[in-house]
Amino acid sequence: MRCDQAQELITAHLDNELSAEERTIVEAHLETCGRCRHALAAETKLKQQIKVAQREVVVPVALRREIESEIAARRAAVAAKADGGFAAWFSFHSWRPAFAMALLLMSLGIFFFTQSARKDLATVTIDSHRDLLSGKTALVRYDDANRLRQELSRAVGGRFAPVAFDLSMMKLYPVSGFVQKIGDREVLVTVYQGSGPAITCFTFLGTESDAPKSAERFYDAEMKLNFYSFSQDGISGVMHKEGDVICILVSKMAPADLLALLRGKSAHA
Amino acid sequence: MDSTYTLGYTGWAVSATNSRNPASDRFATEIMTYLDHLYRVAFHLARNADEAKDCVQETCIRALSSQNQFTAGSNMRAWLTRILYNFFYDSYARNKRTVAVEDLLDGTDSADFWEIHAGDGPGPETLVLDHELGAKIGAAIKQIPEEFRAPILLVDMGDLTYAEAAEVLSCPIGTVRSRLSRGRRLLQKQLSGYLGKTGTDR
Repeated sequence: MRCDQAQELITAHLDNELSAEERTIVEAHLETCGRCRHALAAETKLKQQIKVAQREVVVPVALRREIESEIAARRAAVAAKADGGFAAWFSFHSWRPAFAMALLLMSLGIFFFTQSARKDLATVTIDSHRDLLSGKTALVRYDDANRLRQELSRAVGGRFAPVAFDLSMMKLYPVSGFVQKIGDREVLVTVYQGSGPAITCFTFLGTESDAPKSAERFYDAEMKLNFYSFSQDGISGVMHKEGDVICILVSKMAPADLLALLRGKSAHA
Repeated sequence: MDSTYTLGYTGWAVSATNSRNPASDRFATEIMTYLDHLYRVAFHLARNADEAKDCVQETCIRALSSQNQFTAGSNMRAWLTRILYNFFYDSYARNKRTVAVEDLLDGTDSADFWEIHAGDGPGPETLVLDHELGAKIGAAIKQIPEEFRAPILLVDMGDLTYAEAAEVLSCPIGTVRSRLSRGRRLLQKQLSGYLGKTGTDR
């Protein structure tokens, strides 16, 4: 056997990947060839160096956490479905937008198509809020409000962003968010929770004609804005238009308090 | 809110207790044990940390979505690596470099090559964790064309058998063997300057 023919066999010998017959051949060659024994020693050393070097590379802690969160979110979505097929809520925390949209279409589309088409906006938003309060919906929490907002916006292709409220004075903070399909529309939902009554904010592209039929209209002459208020079973919603998006706040808070909150927000806008 | 999941580093344990599918839990937990391996392969395949992160994340998502395609008892490391490699190849390796390996080796005769480099570098007794050596080997691996780099990542770093590597790379076992042999020579060549300079100190 020539040395150049032995080269690949030496590689495979080192990796214990030779057949018995090949091993006999290459071992016979190695016994008689100092150059190839040298080559085997050098290649063995290199393999050891690679082994040592690879220990230097470990998955970053942040990435490990993101993947853990993704797995947890997936489980939460599955668990929510198992709870009677209710809304497969979806958190976009750390999910890549393309996948997020795919999962959104798969997990949300069918449910809301069948559930929401029959219900008006007031009932759907109040039902959603009630299910958040009762824990019927699995929720994935965020620590970073800005990131939550960015990812929600990305989930709708950047066409719009959820209307943001600073409710820290009321000790309420945006803790989670997801996209809800209502009819054929994508609605960004931001959940504010804290020590006071929770508030759910729904944002979507729309017009004032989207106001629920049951809603009462209030015209604020100072702000030159219409507000629409509705209530069902102790839960209230207040809607207004801000730019080209509609914002609906839903809470157990009194309608007057929600209105005051929205007026404050509009005053800042 | 008993089904609310509060995430964070401890959220994993919280959500695990809420899951209703023990088989899925075990599957997901096993995936997590291969994250370092996946990241190593991705880190050395990809051009930057973002690509590596993307590869690992996508691999986990695809694996979770394809749980029913995994044969229980088979080699999950190899299965995950195949998913990762396929994603990397589809997403990032379109402009794969095609370099004739003999050009890279400057026509050095095979046996002579190893003889020349046999004395380079530290011996096994000095192979303690060496940050500089690790960085150098990492950089050297990136210099090797992907077709020769991949077998090194799979076999030397990933502990895959030739047969498993061949499945990942969709090529015959003999091709893995020849590319691995050539890949190691290329790597040794890349490292020879560094190891030649420092070898006497070790």
